[in-house]
Amino acid sequence: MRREDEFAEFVRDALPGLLRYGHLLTGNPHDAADLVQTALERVGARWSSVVRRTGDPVAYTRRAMANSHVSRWRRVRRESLVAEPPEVGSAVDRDRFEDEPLWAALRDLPPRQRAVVVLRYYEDLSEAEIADALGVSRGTVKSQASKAMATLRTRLGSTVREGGR
Amino acid sequence: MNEHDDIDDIDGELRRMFADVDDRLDVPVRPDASARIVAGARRRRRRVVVAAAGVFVVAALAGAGVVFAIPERDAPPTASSPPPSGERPEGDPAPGMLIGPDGFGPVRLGMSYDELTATGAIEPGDPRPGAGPDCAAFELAGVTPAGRAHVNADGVQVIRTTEPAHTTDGVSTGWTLDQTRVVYPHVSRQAIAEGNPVRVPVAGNLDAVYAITFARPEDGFVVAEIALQYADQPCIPYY
Repeated sequence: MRREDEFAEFVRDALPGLLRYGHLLTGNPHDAADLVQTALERVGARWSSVVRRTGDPVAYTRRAMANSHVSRWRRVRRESLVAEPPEVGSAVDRDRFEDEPLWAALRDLPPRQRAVVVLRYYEDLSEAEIADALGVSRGTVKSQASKAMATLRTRLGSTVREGGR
Repeated sequence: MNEHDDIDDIDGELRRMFADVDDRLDVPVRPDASARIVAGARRRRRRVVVAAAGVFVVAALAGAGVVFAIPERDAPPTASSPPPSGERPEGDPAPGMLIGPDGFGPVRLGMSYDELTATGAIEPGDPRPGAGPDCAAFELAGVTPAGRAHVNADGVQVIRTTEPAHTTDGVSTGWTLDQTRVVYPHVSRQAIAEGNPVRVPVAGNLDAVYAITFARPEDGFVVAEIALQYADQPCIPYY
């Protein structure tokens, strides 16, 4: 099979799962599609090398997506220190998760914290694997996870209290 | 991370949600989505080859003193660097089409969906963006090199291309980081982790900025994509 045909077959098979993963990472389907398309085009441009070096192009693509998503956020924060988090104001799909407080709380996390949570609980990666995927230290993973969990806990607690009134 | 006491109660909730979200996470895509991605990868592969060729040409020109003062890859600019005028050497035309100061070929920032369709740059059957700030992305082809336009109810907000193109200052796809820094000195290596665009001003359009994305082939960063966009565009938060 030609390399491009192989890549095309890979895209057809992996696309639905990668889009779901992108949806989790970005919090909305539009940014998910953009993130996946960019990542897959990069992978396809060096398909042979990715297959040869990694042996698992799906895992490679998913980690590239997480890293790219977080890197973009880092730049935005550097240039706009007082700006709203980049998700705010972007197009979001509110329908399917409208009644899911945990999803809403997760979506409102800063991207790096959200990525750590997604990699840990959806990808089931270890702390060291998350650090490797995001290009940060294990200490950073630990602190980001701790902040994320504290925020989720606070927000869910608020939701429960408000709902109980 | 499980040793943190404060996450124990959330832990189970997250596991339950993530075990049950797949159906709701589905993202509907166009029937030709896979084919478009394969075509995009093919274009990127060609671009990397073009970029590599561009680096070779620049190296050859360096011998004639044209870009001799450009610092070594990833070294900081020095006092001997050329001033950031962005002027290209005479007789060295920038490759590809000019993107900016306010458009890319017939596609202009602020152009409505109908005006964009009338240029022939997008397919008439593409769904129009809805009202409000939500944006839709359209593949550009035909009257421009391949690219994408992000459009909302206020018109075209972002125009992107990975094809050979150059900014108003002459920075082109395929340029190395150091070449780019001669023209836009604030572009640092730290700011361009792969896939991470950096903003630079557009000469002649105070409302717009370029978002330049670098890729890293085997041996260093090169300009992979140039986006012309309104400085306050709402379509791509991280651009």
